[in-house]
Amino acid sequence: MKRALKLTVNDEDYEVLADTHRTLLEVLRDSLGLTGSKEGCGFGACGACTVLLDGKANLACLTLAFSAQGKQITTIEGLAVNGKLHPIQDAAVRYGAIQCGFCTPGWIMSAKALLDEKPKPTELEVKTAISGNLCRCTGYVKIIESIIAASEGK
Amino acid sequence: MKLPRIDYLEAKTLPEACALLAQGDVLACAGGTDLVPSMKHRVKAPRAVVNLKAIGGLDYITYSEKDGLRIGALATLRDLQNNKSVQQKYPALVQSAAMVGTIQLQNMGTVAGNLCLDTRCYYYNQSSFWRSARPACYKAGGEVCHVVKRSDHCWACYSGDTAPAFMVLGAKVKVVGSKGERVIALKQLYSGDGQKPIALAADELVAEIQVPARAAGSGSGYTKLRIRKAIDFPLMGAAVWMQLEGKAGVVKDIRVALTAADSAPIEVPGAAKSIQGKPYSEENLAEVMEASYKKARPVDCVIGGSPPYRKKMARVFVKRAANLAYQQAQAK
Amino acid sequence: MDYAVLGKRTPKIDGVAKATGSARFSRDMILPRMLYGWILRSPYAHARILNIDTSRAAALPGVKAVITGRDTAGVKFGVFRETRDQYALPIDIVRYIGDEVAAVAAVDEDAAQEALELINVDYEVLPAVFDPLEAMRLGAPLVHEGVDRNISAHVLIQFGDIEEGFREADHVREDHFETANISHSTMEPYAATASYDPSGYLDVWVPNQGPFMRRRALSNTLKLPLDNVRIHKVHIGGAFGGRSEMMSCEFCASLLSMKTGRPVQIAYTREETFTCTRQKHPFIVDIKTGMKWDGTLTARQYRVIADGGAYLNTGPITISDSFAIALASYRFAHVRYEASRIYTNKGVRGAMKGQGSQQLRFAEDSQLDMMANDLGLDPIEIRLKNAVEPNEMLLNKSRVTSCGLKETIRESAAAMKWEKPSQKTTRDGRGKGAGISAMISGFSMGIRTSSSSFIKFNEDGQITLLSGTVDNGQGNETMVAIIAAEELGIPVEDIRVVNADTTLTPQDPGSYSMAATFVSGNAARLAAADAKRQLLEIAAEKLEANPADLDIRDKRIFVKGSPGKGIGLKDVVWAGLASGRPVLGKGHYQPDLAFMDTVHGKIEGQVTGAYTFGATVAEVEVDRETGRVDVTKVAAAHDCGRAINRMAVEGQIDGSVVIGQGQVFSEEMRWDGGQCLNASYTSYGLATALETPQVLPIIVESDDPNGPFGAKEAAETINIAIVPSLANAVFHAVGVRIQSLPISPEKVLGALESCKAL
Repeated sequence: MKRALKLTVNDEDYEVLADTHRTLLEVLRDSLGLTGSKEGCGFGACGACTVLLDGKANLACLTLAFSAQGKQITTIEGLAVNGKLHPIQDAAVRYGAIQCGFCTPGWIMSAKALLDEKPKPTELEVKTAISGNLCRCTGYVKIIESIIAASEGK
Repeated sequence: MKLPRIDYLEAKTLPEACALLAQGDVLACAGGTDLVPSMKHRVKAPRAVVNLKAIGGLDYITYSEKDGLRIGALATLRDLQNNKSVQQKYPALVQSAAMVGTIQLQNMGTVAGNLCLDTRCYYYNQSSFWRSARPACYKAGGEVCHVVKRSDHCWACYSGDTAPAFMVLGAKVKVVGSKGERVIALKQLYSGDGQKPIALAADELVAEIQVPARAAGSGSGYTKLRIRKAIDFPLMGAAVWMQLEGKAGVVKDIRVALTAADSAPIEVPGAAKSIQGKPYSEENLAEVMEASYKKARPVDCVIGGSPPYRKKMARVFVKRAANLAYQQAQAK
Repeated sequence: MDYAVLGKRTPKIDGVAKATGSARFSRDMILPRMLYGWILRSPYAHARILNIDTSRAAALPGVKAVITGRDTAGVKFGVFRETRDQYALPIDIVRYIGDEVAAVAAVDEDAAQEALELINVDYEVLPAVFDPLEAMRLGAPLVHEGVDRNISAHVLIQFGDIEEGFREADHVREDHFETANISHSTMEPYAATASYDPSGYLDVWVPNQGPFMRRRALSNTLKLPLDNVRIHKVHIGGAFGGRSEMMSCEFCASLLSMKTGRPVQIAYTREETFTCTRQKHPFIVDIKTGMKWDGTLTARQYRVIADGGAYLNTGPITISDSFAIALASYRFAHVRYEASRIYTNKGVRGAMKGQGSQQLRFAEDSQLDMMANDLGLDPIEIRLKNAVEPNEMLLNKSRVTSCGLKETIRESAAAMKWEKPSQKTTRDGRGKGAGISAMISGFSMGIRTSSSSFIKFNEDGQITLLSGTVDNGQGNETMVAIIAAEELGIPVEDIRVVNADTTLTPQDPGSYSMAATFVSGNAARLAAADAKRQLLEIAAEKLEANPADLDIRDKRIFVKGSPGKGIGLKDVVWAGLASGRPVLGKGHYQPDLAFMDTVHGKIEGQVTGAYTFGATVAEVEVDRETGRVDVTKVAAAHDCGRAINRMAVEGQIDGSVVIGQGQVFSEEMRWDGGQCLNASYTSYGLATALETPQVLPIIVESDDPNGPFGAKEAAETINIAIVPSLANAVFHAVGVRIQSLPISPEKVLGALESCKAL
């Protein structure tokens, strides 16, 4: 059944009518048009739907939309400010960390959660932070490089 | 994959949540990392779910020498790892929580939810379409087991990581229901029945986890066998707690528990006998390892290794967990 | 050669769109009034459809259309006339669990999914067969009536005299290898959005590796004029060969759109993407090789059985093409190759990264190390001794032009500090292993062998480059932009690439068989050269110089030798426009190739424009108590001809290493009869970031005479070489030889225990 759903996404307030069985990912994509978050598996194993809830990396495909009310939701669309890329996004492009780009929004969100909590992570911490984000193209090598570069302001 | 049409309920207090659960056909949802996939697969299709995360003040983790460790129902696996007292006193808890799935799942999933993890089986954790190609198994409401043919019950595997760690630490859980609350040993939370592994009534919830204060000279460790270093459920997991005494570091007591070894996390009974009073060494641990091997009875229901292989691994991982426990126990 | 743009580290031109989430994939095409489709699939591995009653589903509120095989034109599809054995929506027989039965379009996914449950299908269950060896026995159930012993394709290819070859050998070994059923696991699940306009035009957004191939298949099966079908450019979340063929997805979305007059989107679940699109063929390889005492190879005989699943389509390419590629790595005088592709009642197997090359290579290069070990030879030396060389004519009369195979072997070995004594198994749990590979840069695809490209100079001096090339993530769009930029002396940022759109862009082979750089890249270069000629002619008038004396660099046309004398590019474009000579470049490239008749195993003649080569040396650590293997470091050297974009080539190398690692150690679709037990990312073991080793990418530039700026291909070679490298490294580490993939901890431990028992 449909009910009013209030969400705060990328510092903007939204109110939509949504079915109670919708996941956060469905509402972001289908109701709010924020299609940057992807469904890679729908079962919480690939991380393509990673968004931040109150700053922590969460899986939008396993989150009931209504349970995200009252939380600060950050999606990939919320990272660049006035057209200026976030340092992680910028490094991702410059270091060749992007190939097909389908997993990219997810791991960038995981990396953001990491760097917000730990601005100078070790390589192992970077690998661990994105180990829930599967990538089939890059072998992760340049993803890891780019996150470390972003953390060093390179 | 879509969720079935379910209603969404919120509770502001635990009694309120229990009252909603008591209405029937309502399931509790905290992190949702176990429940939501099950609902997508249609192995669970309740009328409604009640979101526990709307309840305030339940994400506490406290430690005192008097009361030991107290973990609120909504503390996450991540909270557990980040807690200073837990890091200092109970490395097995940190190790086990850090081995659950992925960072995202650890951020979302609660410790209590991880203890209440449903059993798993590759004939059960499948979509309704997948399951429609063969008769329904016991766990999905049918009359067969596809793993142990001609068995009269379900053999699904308990695969939680934190349960064996809490178990060897002597944890208890406070259970609340619409008719009141009770405190039980963690072991009693598990029925051993693959079909309904968690021994809670429909209106009951784990409200708190209680772990005795760390005893002097004690240590704990958890480790598991998995193919990849993330995502994978354990193929065999072992937790060990031990206490040393005297200058020579003689083993005073030891407790061992396994996961992915049966339909419940299991304690290895009488583990202590063979090593009590002896200095800790891999040699003196041999009988403990052997007892663990005998106790484990994995079945062919997960990807990654055959039952004989996984059973064999009980020895190895008990040894590795024991080495971790020894490290802490003998440290100053 | 001093290049301005080429060979640098150029960020992908679609990088920002992908980093910000604005890049749209097929499922992100959310159109006004769009309906959502779902497909009803067979729960039986083999059954006859007796009757389908869709009336209850059609009556469900929100449901707009229901289609079954009877609503289709009943046209089978497949790349060759002989291999068209599949209906996009089966009419009479379903052949695997997941085969399509009906499709529904509704206002939302809930209604569509619920409608599926209301479709009543009467089946007559037929006997099924799942194991290829059982399927080949006389009397086994037939997956397709009339196909003897379920052999969907069979080839026998011979060169020289195999018996003579074995007589010449001092050492002959015969070994058995098996590879795993691998999933492409593109991160983007399969999805299609289709929109039919009542005036007769169909617009489709679907992940593909060649829009022109896809248009043909849709046009044929939907009975629509070719030009009325438009495959749009869309971002594609990986392909790896798995997006070569048409799927039921876009066919059903299109037909439902035609029925309803509204856009329809069908998005497969991950489970459907695993089992109902395409998978890699698992091979059973019996290989017999003859060798002289000094390691010189004399003869090789293969017997291959490939489990093909329920349908054929591109299947013959997998078994034939792979052998044609294998001929380009080691030199032999006598070879016999016999391969059978077998139908079974399981999901369909198709192309994946090098077709069947990886499967063959695992057997070839594992056995080579076994023989080296038998004879006390160094694995690196033995590879160098037999490696193909530049300008070598292969047994199938296909010439290798440029060839840096030996350099790749030497450089990867040097990077890993390979020392002669290391050939001896150290058995201390750490070990190194080598593997090599060859690959092709495109093959004949009939009228789709060639690529064309257009360049349009805009009034500000920037250009629009039209190319049919499709980008699945490997960076083909950036590749053509760099080539054009280098040729034209302008920066990449001044080029807008419009590509992979059947209506807008000229024909292209697609990114199959590694044709993109060699074929599409050459077309882009020729278009740029044509535009450049026009620019220089106009400039020559202005500068009162001979066009042959002019060149372009940094957006300026100048007289060679006196850079002070020049004119801005924009001014030249303006002058052209003002004088009725707009600068419009056109390029067309068609390699002169013999058609490889893979169906009948005729692979003679020049089968590809260029061969590429690679070698890897991997280092692993084996946990002796569990059998678990960690990959610590890999050096991968790739002769790509020339790196158009170093960062992209490295990215292909990195990715190939880690995909290979997953394929060797943790990936396998496990089946119980006709059901895949692990069609999910929870239990199918794609490597995670924590498995990533240190990768040392090495680029070897052999400068191909026919490639654009000497470039060939960069992607598949390393993914093939890495597989035996890892298997060989495990042997070197602990002395056990695992001959079936994946090399699971359990297999390693089992082998270690049998060693101990001896």
